[in-house]
Formats: sequence, C-alpha cells, structure tokens
Amino acid sequence: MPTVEFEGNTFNVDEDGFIDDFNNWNKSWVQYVKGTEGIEELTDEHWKVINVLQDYYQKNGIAPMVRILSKVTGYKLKYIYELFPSGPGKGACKMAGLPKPTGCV
Amino acid sequence: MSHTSLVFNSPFFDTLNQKERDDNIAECLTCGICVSRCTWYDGEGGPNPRQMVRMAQLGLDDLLAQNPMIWDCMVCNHCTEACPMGITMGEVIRKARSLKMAEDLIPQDIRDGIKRRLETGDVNGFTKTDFIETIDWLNEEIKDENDDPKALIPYDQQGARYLYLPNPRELGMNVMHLTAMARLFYAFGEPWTMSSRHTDVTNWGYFIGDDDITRTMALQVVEAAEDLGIKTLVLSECGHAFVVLRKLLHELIGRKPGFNVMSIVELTLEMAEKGAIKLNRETHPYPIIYHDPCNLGRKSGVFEVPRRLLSMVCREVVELHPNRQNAVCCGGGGGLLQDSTSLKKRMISGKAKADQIRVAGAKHVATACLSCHRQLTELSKEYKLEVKVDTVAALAEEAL
Repeated sequence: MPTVEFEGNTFNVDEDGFIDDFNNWNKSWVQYVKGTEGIEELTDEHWKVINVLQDYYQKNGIAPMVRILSKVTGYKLKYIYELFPSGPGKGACKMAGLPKPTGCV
Repeated sequence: MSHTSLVFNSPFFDTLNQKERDDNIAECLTCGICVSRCTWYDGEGGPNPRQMVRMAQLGLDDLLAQNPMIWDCMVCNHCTEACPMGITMGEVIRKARSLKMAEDLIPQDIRDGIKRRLETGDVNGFTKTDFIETIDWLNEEIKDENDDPKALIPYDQQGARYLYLPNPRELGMNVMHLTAMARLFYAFGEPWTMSSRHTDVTNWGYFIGDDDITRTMALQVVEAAEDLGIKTLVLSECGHAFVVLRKLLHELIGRKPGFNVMSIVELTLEMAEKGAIKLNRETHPYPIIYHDPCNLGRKSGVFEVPRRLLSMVCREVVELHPNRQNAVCCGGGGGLLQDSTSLKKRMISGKAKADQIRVAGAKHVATACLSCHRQLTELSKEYKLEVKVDTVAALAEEAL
C-alpha cells in the first residue's frame, strides 16, 4: 500500500488516495488533501462539510447520501461542488478520512 | 449423457450440459485456447479456465467449489470467445458460483447487497422514503436553474411513455449523473417518469448465478413498470443489467413483459438520428477512446450503437485493439467491482486494458457501463494513464 508523508505524518493510502483507516485521520491530512484537490483556502464551510461527514460516519458506519449532507449542512448541491471540485465522494469524503465509496454507491 | 468422471455423484456436472452449446463442458478438447486469452491468468499465473472446466468434467465439485478462481473470474467470456467447442465460461462460472457448497466463497459485500435489494428494492438499502426525499430535493435544486416545470424529475406518473431505471449510484453519491439523464429526457420532449416503488437497475443475483434470485429481482422491476403502464423501460448504463433486463428478461420470467426495454444510450441515439435532439460534436473537440463493456458487447452484440452516438459528440472515436467481440475486459466484471476486497485482483486483471489505453494515446475514454467506468478510473490512477473517463450518455448530455 502506498504511503504519503506530510508535515511529519505518514498515511497509508489506496490507489485513489483515500486513507486506509478513519482512525488514522488528523488535521494534517486535511491540509494534504487540500493541496491535491486544488482547494485554495479552507473555510468554515469546508470544515462544516467535513464535520457532518465524520459525525454521520461515526454514527452509521457509512457515508451519508448526498441529500442528507445537503440537508444537514444547509448547502445546495452546486455549492458542495464549488467547495469540493472532485465532488462529495472523491473530494469531501476523502478529506474527511472516510473510506472510498465502493460497490454501486 | 454419459461421461468420464472420477466420481459419480457430481451435482455440478448434472447442472451442466443442459444446453446445446454454452455449457457443454463434456466436449472440452483441453486445447487451452481459453488459457491464452485470460487476463487474470496472464497477470497472476493461474488457476486458469481450462483447469476449472477439467475439474467440472472430472466431477471434482469439492475442489471446484473451494477454488477462489470462481470469484477471480470476471465472467467476461474473453477466454472462450475463441473456444472451438463453443463453451461459454460465463455460464460455467455462474453455475459453479451457484453451487450450495460454494456459498461460503460469495463475497460479503455481494451477500449484503443482495439481502438489501430483496428487502428494499435497492442494493444500497435506500427506501421509498429515501427515494422520494432525494428526488424532491433534486427538484428543488433544478427549480433554481430552470423555470420550466417540465425540467423536473417526475416519478410515479401513470401512463408515461418512458420509465427510467437508474443505477443506485445516481441516488447516492453521484446524483449529478441523474440530473444529467433528466436533462436528456427533458430534451427528448416525451413524457417520462421514475418509479418510487423500484429504484434500482442492478441485479446481483446474476453475479452469484442464482436464477431464482435473479428472477425475483427482475420481477420487482417488471411489476413496477407494468403497474405504471409505461411503453418503454429505459436502463441506466449498466452492463449486467443490460444482459438481465434487455437480453434475458423474456426467458427469465417466462413471458413477454408488457413494455419494450432500451438502454439510455440506445434511446439517445434514436432521438438524435430522428432529429428530436441536436448534438454538438464540437463540445468535445478531440478524439475519445471507446471501451466495449463485455456485457453490452461480446455478450449482447451491441457494438455500433454506442460508437455511433459517441461519434456525434466528439471529433473522433478511437478504437482499442483488439475490440468488439475480442475486446479485453476492464477487470471489473462478474461482480468484482462490487466487492470492496477485490482491488488487487482488479488491478492485475485490468493491466491489459490499461496497456491498450496507453498505446491508443487519447486522453479521454468513454464506455457505456458504470462499473467499467469506475474500474477504468481506478486503472488510470494505478497505471498513471492520466485519462478522463465518462459514460457515453453523460457525454451526449454535455453535447446537447
């Protein structure tokens, strides 16, 4: 499994760059993904999405449907894509340390 | 039929050799042409298709049922396309997977998905309420962009001409695909609908070779469609669903359904060719590679429809070699993509496809199956191909 070195942290990642284990997530990971996703500045709105994803994942063991993400954050779909150009799955979930969506999700 | 077997009590052998061709393993010449065409064998060195057939022939059910090869196989039929005796490996493997003693080998993700699908109608377990709330939410978003009420996504519209059956991704993480498909239907200008009763095009019963489950899942779709009184069921771009619902449906449910079945790619091409929609080739002013999904191409004979549509929305369609009947599987077929533990083997089996794409040179790949789509995206990362991957219908929508 490839590894990523960033700010003195080592992360194991899969071929799509998702970290292998949610428990290994920390704030340094967010800074790293920010660079690879081409996000200029992390705002409170980015953090709100990340926090909602993590809360939901900790409670339910899966990522929420995008509708639920939109409802809980109060952000429109289009705005979520503006915040995370790779989209809620490949962008936001990756940054929040959730596993990559698999199957027909 | 008489046969040479090491054991006489072989339930597997008894389920085979029922058809004139396809599953006639007793006729295997052990020539090994299948071995030479297996991309899993190329990458991993075995076991190989001929060994599987041989085990079945000799009645070694126990050995076969415990052999991980039955779930390494992509059920792509590339191996036996050239079989001189017309054996179809996909048939053999699906029957092997359906053996009672092979049950333990079914990947957990597939098991869970089938359970959810039978319970809720959706492989991810989305309920009718989830469906309705998602569509209502998307319609709120659409209203912000388009004032015309006809642009909204309709559901449960009795007597609509078309019923669109989405891939579960389109209600989960990838709702942008669903809104794109809705814009296509809006452009067609004919009444269409979705069904809150059934929300899912997939049929994982096909992956485990269980005809009863496959039939039950297919009937969930058929009954919802017939109750709505629609004329044509339109399938999202999904390879195995095309085989089950477009090719095998009549045989599977034992009667003719009360509607026609088309894929969204077929319908979009029809609309474009009769002039109902106009597509702009210059939306993608560069060459795009077409990858044949095995289920659509080799198994169902649909080669030209997606190519014709693709040629209307980009400057040039680039072929991979070999293609059509002899196209190489992306490595994600047969339920492998739906199993989250399969990544390593998919990257091994998919290497041949990655090599083809690299040689073809173009930087954009189109296909007509969402499983191929995800696998090709992952291959691009793994093998540093740096290609963008889209579905043909999604590209057509961009070209409206």
